[in-house]
Amino acid sequence: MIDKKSKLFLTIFFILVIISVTITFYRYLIIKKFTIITDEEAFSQSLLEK
Amino acid sequence: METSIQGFINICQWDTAKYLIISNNVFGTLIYYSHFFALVLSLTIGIFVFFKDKKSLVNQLLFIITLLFSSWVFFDLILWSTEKLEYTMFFWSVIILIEPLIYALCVYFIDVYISKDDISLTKKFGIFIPLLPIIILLPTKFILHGFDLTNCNRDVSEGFISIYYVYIIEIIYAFWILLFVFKKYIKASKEMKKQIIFISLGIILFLLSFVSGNIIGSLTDNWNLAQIGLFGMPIFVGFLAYTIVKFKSFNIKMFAAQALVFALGFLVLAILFIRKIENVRVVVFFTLIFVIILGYLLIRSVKKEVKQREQLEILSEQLLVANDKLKELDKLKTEFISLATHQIRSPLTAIKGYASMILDGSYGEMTPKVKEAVDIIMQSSANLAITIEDFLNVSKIESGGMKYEKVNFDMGELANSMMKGIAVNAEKKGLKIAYTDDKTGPYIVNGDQEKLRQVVLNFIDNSIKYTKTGGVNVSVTRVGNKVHFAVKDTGMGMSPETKAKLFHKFSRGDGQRMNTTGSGLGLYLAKEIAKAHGGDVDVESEGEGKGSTFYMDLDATK
Repeated sequence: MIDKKSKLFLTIFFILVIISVTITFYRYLIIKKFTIITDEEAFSQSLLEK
Repeated sequence: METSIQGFINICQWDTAKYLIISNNVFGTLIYYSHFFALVLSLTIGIFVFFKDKKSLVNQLLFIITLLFSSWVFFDLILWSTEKLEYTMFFWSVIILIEPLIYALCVYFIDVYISKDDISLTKKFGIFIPLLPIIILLPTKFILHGFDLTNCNRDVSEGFISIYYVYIIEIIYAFWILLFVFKKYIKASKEMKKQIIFISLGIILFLLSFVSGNIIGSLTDNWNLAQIGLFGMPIFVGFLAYTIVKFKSFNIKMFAAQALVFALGFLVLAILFIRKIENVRVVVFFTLIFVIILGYLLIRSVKKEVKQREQLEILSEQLLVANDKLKELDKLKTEFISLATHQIRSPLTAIKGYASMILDGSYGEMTPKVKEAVDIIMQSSANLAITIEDFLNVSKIESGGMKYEKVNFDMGELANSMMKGIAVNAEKKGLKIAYTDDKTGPYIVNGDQEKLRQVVLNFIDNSIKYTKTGGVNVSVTRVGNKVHFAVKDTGMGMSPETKAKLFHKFSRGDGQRMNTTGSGLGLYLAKEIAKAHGGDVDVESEGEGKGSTFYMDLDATK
């Protein structure tokens, strides 16, 4: 069985993970704040071809 | 910019995913098959192990590992299927967190499994603290720079932490496990060594296939290769299954039957989804029903067998305990008899001594009536002395303390002299008694003359006791390389049931019916003495009222 101090440590660790995943969820899925890396030259070329 | 991004997305012609995981963006059903197989297998074993013993830390850890791996597989499938940039960013980030977390938990798991105890708080710090940078920086560019829209591969651009830090700590965790296992293996017992090898090999192969696939994918962008990681789980499960069945780890006994049935059922179910021809689907559907019914019956019968075997094991253990107790009691009984008979001997010697002195006239003249009474005292004490001697001999034989002084002597002469000595008893009853042999003497045997004299006397005395009319014949003959001593009478004979009990302790045949005296130990002692001389005793009788022949065979000495 796990002792009390270990339980506390693991609980805090788990809470940190939840917070981190929640923030990530908020950033990417709610406010959609992320960089989109494009190559403009390649895009223009493909537009012309289309 | 937004228009151009939407334009680029339109060029790529990504399919819209349904229910997150179903889309034509996945290049073949094999991806679904491999992902579902790994997901279901890991979840099943995790749930199975957990519900067998929820309180066990090892079972809990294994459940969490399999749960995380199943999540990883599911999110990976989303990444294969989804066309949405934000979904790709989110699930990719989560996967980057889950991977090293699985490794950390494997380190924890293997330590607890082998040490059979929880690890210290310091060790827990050592295992989980390295994950903090990943957790804290998860929503930042250090994990993912952004979505890579320079091609149609639905890729991300990974940050420094994802490309380097994560893989370095995963490799460190793998080596941690190797080192720990090696140290424990050296000190382990033989039985534990096998378990350590199997479970460690399973975990290490799983983690190595996981890390190699993902490192190759991150560095080369060839994500088809990264699927190697999925095959790590079945390897681990295979070894885990073997340890469960062979070493009964995680408190699971029925695993093999249930796993077999489940795997069969799952494979048939999978075919149902892969095959598109309708007729085949109908056949497969009925096959599935058939497998489920048969599987249920198989599991039920295996459960019953396992339960019966467990009951047998318990009974067997109880039997061993009872047997040990019985042996102890038997030893105590033998010691008691020995002690008791020694205590009785001393006063008996005094009785015989004084009775003899009275008969000798040491205490003056006796009347005939007094003489008769003293005679009876002498006779009774002599009988009692014989009985005590029998008890003592039995106790010596059972405790292994009986000593034999072996010399060469003529069995024929012994039998003849004993017959003459006891003939007066036969004549008092009006019985004829004689000695005969086959003239192939001398009948030399090597044995304890005094003990064998007791056997001869016992046989002749018994025959006289149990014969009312007729006679007793004592004979010694040579049969092959054996000396065959026999006492044949025309007495009461015996039934086969009586014969079967005869040479056991306290068995007197029909002695009580005949109102004869005796402790019931004479024939038992005769058998033991004969056995100690490499010989044997037995009895023949044609039935009640038809007489008996008691005989003893001993090896002849040349």
